[in-house]
Amino acid sequence: MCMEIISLDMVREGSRVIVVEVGSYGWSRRLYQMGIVPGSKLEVVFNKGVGPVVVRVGDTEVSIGRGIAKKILVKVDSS
Amino acid sequence: MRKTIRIAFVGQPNVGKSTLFNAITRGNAIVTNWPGTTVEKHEGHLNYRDYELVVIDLPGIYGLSYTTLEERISRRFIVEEKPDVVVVLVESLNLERTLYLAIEIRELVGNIVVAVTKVDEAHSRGIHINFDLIERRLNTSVVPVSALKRVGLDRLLDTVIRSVGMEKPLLKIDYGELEPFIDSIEHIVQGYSENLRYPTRWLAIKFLEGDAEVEDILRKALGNQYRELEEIREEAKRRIGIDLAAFISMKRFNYAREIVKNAIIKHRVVRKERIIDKIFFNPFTAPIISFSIIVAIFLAVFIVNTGYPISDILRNLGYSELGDIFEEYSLSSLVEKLFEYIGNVVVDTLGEGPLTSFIVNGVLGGLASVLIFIPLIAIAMAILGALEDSGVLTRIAIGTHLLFQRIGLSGHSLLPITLSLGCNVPGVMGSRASPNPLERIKLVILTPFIPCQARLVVLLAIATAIGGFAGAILVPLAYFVAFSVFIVLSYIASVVSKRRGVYEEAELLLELPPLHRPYARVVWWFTWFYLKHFLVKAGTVIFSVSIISWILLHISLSTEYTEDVGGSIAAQISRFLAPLLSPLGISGEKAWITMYAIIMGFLAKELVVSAIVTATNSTSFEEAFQKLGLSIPSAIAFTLFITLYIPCLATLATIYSESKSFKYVLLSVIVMISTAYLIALLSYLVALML
Repeated sequence: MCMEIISLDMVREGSRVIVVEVGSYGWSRRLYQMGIVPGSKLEVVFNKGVGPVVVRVGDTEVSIGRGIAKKILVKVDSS
Repeated sequence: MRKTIRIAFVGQPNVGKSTLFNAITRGNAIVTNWPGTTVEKHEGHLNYRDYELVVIDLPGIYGLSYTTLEERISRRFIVEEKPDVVVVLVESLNLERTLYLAIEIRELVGNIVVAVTKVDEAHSRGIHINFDLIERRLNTSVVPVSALKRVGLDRLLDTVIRSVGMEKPLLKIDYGELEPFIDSIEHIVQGYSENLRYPTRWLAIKFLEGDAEVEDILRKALGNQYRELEEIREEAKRRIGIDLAAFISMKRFNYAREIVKNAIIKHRVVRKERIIDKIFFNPFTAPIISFSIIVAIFLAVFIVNTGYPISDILRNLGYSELGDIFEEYSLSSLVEKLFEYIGNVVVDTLGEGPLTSFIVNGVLGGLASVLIFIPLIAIAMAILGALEDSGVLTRIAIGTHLLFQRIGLSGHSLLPITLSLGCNVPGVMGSRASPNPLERIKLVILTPFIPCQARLVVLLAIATAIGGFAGAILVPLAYFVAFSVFIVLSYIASVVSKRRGVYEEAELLLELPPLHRPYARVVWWFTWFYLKHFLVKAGTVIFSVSIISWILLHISLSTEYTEDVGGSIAAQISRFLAPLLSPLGISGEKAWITMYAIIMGFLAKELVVSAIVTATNSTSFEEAFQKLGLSIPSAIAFTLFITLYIPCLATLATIYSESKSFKYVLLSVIVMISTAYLIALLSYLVALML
């Protein structure tokens, strides 16, 4: 099983990932409140290589600026 | 005497809080600012059964941390002002995430009612919710509502009234491995609890989360013993292994998830092929579609308002009659005609004289200059409301973000900037599109640099009067300079705020609301709210200054009525200030007229043209401009000055009503005048050398 940990901006569109680390900086509290905490499952809805990464968490979609996405570490959800 | 009940509304963004607030207060809200901030406070009053209900709409927040201004305001209000009941809004379509806030508040407050919103929509999507179970798990009343269908509103208010004074024990979530640490902190803090307004368990949890305000409170209360708390936290960090705030949020989410899992039966709705979102998230099509939407809106608003540019295009195509009709039946010309008609009636009944002039030019003129903005604002705000309600505005902000990021702004700036090209008043109001208070203030102060249609009229008139090469490049030059100034100042502002540490990185972290057709009722509330806001706040200022300016224009220094502009107080003031223009090569006997035009331009930019014509006793602007005797370099300097120098009266009044601060109004005036003067001087010197 591949357990490679990468940053969210590197994840391909359509993949499902599990958050490993959100990082402790200005935006982390807001991310936590939106349900993006270590262990939560995300589906990457849009990721075009530039601009924001759009993820689905639960029933909502959140657009995450690329700068923020770079600091979120995830692993691919194989379940 | 009716008993007063104070109710606070709390909810995450997009849960339908303002819709519910409007439905309950029926649009009767008083708007002020939260003390010391530019965040709006909406307060509604209504009589219901035997009670007077005061509903305070707290800003939309995702949780109760201390990181954003909105969260600090809400937290402080809930704890210090102690509303009788806190109504927490939870969205039925998005139960898990929105319950998070309810859980956090339930840990802090004993008297809350949970309103589950948009139940009609949930029902139509096949989502069934067991409200009793939520009620049991949160140990508080839960009421399903639909603000748009007006379902459950009375039941919500009845539940609120019934629960006044019925404090329930706070919600205790099992934080697992963290519990022993919470206990030991609580144990220490309990010794000081009479000095603390917050529940001790809540303080303990917030302290572990690293909450700056709670740390402060405990440091002050505990003195030397505070160090023990820090040691406990360090120990907890080692044991848990991840960021404690993340761990605590996880536990709260687990609690919410647990409730949702058991309380919801959902038929999985398959999402449609998302063509619209595909366009908005493609890096190439996103800016194109966003700009197209905004430009289309811009054209629609201004064609309806003045007929321009359709009227000119038709004329150039040879259909000059059709072009004239377009202009004649545009809203602004209709308003103008109406007031002309009333004015004529007044002249016919009263005859010529000072009183007639006062009524026609002062009172009616002032009224007209307020009314002229109503269709403009109504259309612009209705479109903004529709864009926002449908979820398109968020996508536009995301789609254009990359471009604006470079100048220290976010994608939220596209709308205010574009609207400003037509008129700065809706442009300044459109700065509301940005949720970031710092960016909003920046937009409020800088968008008036964007040349509006009125300034375009002046620019075109001067360009025609000058003619030749200078005339041909004048208009593009003025726009180029204005936009450069906007970009440079915006960049400087972001560098300065970064240095001062108040700068929020121009990153976007936005929830994407699902796209849907806008609801007419929501759009109407939005439009009516801003229209009322403009009429009350900006309208009074515009009207009173119009009256004052009539007096300055028609009364001579010896306090007598005069028809001759040259003898008025305004002309005297212009003569006094005229020497300021001599560095721009504008001096001599006629210099006061240029200054007079500049002053008139403050009232409304398009008045620059008529001011020069009347003060020189000319029949056309070309003739009048020749009489001023400006050299080409001076004319260019004057033009650039006119383009940049000051927000017009209506815009200033709007800046005041939007920022509710004289400081910002003053700042705006100072920034614009000094920039305009500097640029005018520079361009004069450069033009002299050419």
